Amino acid sequence: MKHLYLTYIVITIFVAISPLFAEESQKRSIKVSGNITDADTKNPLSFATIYIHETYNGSASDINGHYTILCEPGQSYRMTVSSLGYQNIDTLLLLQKNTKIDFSLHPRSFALSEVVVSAKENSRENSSSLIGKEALQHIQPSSLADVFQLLPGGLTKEMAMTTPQYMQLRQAGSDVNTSLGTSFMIDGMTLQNDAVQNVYGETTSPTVLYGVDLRSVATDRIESVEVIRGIPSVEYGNLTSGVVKVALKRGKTPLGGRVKSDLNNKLFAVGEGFLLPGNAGTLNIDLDYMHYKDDPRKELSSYKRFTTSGRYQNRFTIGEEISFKLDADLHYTGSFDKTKSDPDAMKGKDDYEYNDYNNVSFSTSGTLSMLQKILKELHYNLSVSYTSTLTERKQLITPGVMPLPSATEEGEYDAQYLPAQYSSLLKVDGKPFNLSAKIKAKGEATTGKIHHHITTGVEWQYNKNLGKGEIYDQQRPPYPATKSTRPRPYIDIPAVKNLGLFVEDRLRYNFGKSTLAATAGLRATPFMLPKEYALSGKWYIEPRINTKLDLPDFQLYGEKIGITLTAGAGRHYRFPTQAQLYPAPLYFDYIQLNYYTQNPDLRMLNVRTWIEDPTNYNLQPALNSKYEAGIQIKIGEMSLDLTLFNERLNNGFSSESAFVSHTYRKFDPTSVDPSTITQRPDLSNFTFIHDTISSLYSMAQNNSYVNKRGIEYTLYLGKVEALYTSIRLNGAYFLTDYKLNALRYFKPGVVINNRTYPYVGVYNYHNTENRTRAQFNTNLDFDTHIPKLRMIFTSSFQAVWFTKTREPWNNGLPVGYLDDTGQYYTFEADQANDPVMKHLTDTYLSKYFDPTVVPLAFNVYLKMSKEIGDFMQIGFYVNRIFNYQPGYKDKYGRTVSSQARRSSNGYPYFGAEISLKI
Amino acid sequence: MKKKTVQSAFYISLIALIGIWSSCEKEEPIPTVELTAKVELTGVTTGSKVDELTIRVKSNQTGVTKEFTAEANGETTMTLEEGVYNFEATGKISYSYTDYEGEEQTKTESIAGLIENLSVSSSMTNKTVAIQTHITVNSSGWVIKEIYSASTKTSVGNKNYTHVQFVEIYNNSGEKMYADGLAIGETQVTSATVPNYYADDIANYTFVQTLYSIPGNGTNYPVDPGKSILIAPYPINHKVEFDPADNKLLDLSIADFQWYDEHSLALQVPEVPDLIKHYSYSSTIWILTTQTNRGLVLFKTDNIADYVTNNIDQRKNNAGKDAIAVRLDNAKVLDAVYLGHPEKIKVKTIAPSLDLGFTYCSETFNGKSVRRKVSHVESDGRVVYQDTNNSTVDFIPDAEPQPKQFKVD
Repeated sequence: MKHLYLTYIVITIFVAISPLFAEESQKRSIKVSGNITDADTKNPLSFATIYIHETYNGSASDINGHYTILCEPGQSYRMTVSSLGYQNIDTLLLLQKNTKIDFSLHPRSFALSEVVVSAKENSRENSSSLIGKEALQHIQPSSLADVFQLLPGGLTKEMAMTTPQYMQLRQAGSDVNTSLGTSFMIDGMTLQNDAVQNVYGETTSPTVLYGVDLRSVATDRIESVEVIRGIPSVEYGNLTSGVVKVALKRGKTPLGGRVKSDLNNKLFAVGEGFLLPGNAGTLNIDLDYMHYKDDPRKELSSYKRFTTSGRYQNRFTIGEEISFKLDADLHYTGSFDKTKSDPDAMKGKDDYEYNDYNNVSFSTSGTLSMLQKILKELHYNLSVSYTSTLTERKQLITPGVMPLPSATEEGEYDAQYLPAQYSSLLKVDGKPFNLSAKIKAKGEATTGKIHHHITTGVEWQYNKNLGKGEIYDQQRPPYPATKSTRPRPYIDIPAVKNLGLFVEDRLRYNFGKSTLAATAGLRATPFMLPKEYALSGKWYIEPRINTKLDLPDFQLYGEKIGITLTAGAGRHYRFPTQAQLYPAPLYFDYIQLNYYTQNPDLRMLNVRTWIEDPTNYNLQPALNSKYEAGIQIKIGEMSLDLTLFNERLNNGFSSESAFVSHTYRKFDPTSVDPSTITQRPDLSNFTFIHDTISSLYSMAQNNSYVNKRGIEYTLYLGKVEALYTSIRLNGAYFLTDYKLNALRYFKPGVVINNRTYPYVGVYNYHNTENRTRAQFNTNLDFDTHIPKLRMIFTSSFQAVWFTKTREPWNNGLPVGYLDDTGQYYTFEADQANDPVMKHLTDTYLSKYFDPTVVPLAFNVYLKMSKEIGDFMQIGFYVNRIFNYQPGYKDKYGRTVSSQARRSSNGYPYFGAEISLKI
Repeated sequence: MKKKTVQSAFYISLIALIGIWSSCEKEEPIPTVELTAKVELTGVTTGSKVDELTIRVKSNQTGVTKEFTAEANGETTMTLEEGVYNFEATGKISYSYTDYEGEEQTKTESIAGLIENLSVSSSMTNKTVAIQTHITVNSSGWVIKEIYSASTKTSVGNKNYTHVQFVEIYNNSGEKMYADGLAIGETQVTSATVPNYYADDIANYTFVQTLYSIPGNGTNYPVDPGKSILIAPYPINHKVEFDPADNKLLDLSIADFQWYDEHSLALQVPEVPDLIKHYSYSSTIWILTTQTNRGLVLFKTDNIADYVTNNIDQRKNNAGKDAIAVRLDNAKVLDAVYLGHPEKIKVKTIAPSLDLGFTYCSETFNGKSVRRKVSHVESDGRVVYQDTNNSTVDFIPDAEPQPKQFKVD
């Protein structure tokens, strides 16, 4: 039934697009063509890109630098010509007949007058930031995580590379749903980690998983990064927060390298782009190595990354109107920390730990462009990624003698006592594997005065883990004290599949001197799950729209003023990961008889094991509804971008407690006197009572709620020519609410008069999970660019005016409680004084609910990049060269000193790098 | 007739003379011995000063007591006739100690010592009589003799091994006592909890987070004078079971009671009776604080189960959250030891009336215990431990663990 549905849809798409292969009824009659060359060497530039803003059409020059584009007479078009390593040319076309235009591009260098080292607001309808090559280089990044400081609301800080770095977007604080809900794409290939089961050798808890670890993405091969903060096109799915699109360098480049060193990091990168002989295209090869140490004295807290990549590109033309661009990429990322061993944790002579990570991915995409047809473009992308993670840990375990429950089935059984010390060997073999395929078609049509640019397509993703999972001797477990799961091969876990169908119309309507552009689209995804799940097969529809109104320019006091208004709304679904959909069964082991006599031959241990399935068969995707509106005002050279947004995440992924009640037989060890027996007694010799006990376990749920509201602003004040300095200001005010919309269960871990606490409290609030956070910051940057010295110097003054945190008030009392059998009782207010019930109350001083306000933190950062000769560029930066963080009184009236604040945010930090071009 | 009178007068005077002569017995002189009586102090800290040292010598034959005052060095000379005497020394001792706030304090205690039936004769080889004196014991009953909580590291693998912990309680009196109903517990706050949110109440109460008691109807567990109760969580021979080559592991199979927690981390040793777990903050196992910064109390009351239920105290701790502990009446606390590291003590968690000072182990897992000092040994060999309610003076910090051993060091 499902397959029939799918086939029907695919056929419909093909039928719908076939007329697009027909010739356009109204041909664009003017042909513009020419040659693109290097201004210095006069050599042709192959595969240079030409982009027309009004028609959203792109083209590229062929191997000889020759290009052709079509346009209509009497229409004005904005055209951008760009090539890797060269300065862009922006031009305006208003033509009446076929014209030949040649472009001559200058290689990028600080000697040129126009260099942009900040994030630019993209010209599309949604709010997104574009970070170009120069901006990337100027911040001297070690990994992709460093890039986000350029976004409004971003703060410059060093990334601690020994722990995973997760994405934060448009928020004060962070949460897993934003990290999981951001889609990362590298040249059309989505980075997926939905089938990851273990991080650092431990199987992750069967609940919420984080998103992509930003440390693993090297930056030297990146040409540009676009961060879509607002509402992305329906072409991008399985996300809630935003999209990060990375474009890698393609094309001929000279041999270049970079060496960077700062207090914790050493980085080395080298790469070159070759023009293959015989018009066979271009091939870019690069590699990069980074070594990060938290503390130079400590060997073990370090992170080492090695990456290499080969990217092939070619472009074939069939006549002047049909061309086919082909890309094929092969990437490898590895971390080779083979001898990580913690001297304090392992004192056995043979102890060691070994962590191996290797990822290989292959991606190919092709675009067929047809200039004269209604169907303008056919595009495919196919990628496959395979990761092998292996952790091996040999450790001397000395628990002191303790019981070992080890059953894999339910029931009562005799068990063993563990020896007081033993060597355990743990291997964790994780092999996440993913496959994705995408086909899309673009066409154009005109209805009256409105130009339509339609894109439709289908995308399919497949995630599975091929690893063997945790492997160890069950009789000698590595973690004897906490054993609620048993080994489960990852390959046995079902795959996670996603299918997305999308259709989008990007339209333009010119009326008078104004232009209205809108992108409206729809994405549909069936939830591909086995029948047991409640929402199996349900379709989720995501409508999204972004609009932009360009008002006509007008003059005021001699300055040209332009105003643009934007608005958008959209729905976004993020589907659950493998670890959330198919968690491992949980084992509850209750020791029925613990008879550890002083005579080893008489010892007895009897255990009752229950198995629970923590799968949530009602698991839903997380839904984020985004609304935003913005205004952009240009006054002469100055520009102000202001965006207001409101995002509401419902059914966000959360991990919460579920209640379960078990019975077991509690045998009395004193009922058999060891001095009266000569051989191991039988279980029937002991007296017992039936006992019921309650427990809580974790289950994946959809109860997180996040509401992000705020204003992002970017103000460009123009250039003070005499000082060669341009001034810009950016920042944001974020107000973020985090809430868990569910009941909370809590069982006090106390024993009263020989009885474990008999109740589980049920609360309708979550302390520390529910909170509101706010942050307001401003970054003022002065970019001094002196072409004669070929140098850019940025001084950045960053002020976080305040950060505020507040927890909503609660009365500290439960709404009810459950006894050991699961019977529910309402909690009466007067029970709070009962000596046993007191343990369920958790009241706070009223001051606890006052907001915590941390006042101004002010820092100054300096960055410098300079070219030396033709071959070398050096960079240097100092963070927090000046730091002002006054002390303040917290909500309890206690003083937090300036010293305490400063030390928690670190002292000055600096680094330097050299880049070479041969 | 004249001749006859003179003759009888002569004979009468002669008889009278002989009579007088014989009645005047010439006495033998009794030998005297010059000896030095010296007061010796045991079990007191250095830097102490003795005062008002009096030595009373009582003759067993005549019952006459002579008093001498000793000099500052504790000595005095005396001349005694040969005989059998009792030597008794009394006096006052002043000593200083550092209290939990780091301040120097002085205390004065009475000291006493006794030597009975000492034979004094000229043939004595040693003419110095050393009278061992000790601080007069003011508790006569149960005392906490040793607490081993710092635990040790294993020789192989250098792992933290807390299973060798134990608490030993000693019968310091001269009579048989019954251990039924004795309870032990650790205080809720540590010596580093600033401020101590129980500070207003500790004069009358001690607040504990754990309380385990010895079962029994009152006469089930007799303990002779000079004997002890050893309580351990793992009453097994650790050396044999774990690593025979590791001398830091103790044989605790000699324990009298086990504090047993029903949890997969614990072992139930059926040969050793269990304590009743009246209250514990933890549903897993109770491990004594290895940093040695909590107080340990010995408590006894009737109907302890009801006492616990009726004395649960709930108040805000320093983080503004609720803290729950059992409130023990100080009048029912038999003995208390305050543990706290000298450089890290900030607050007192036990009333000064229960313990003026503190004791400690300098490092966690250093294999050392805190053990009470021996005051003196009675004539029948029974060891008496010192208890002035001042752990700084009464305890040996960083001591070698000696379960069920009562050595006079």
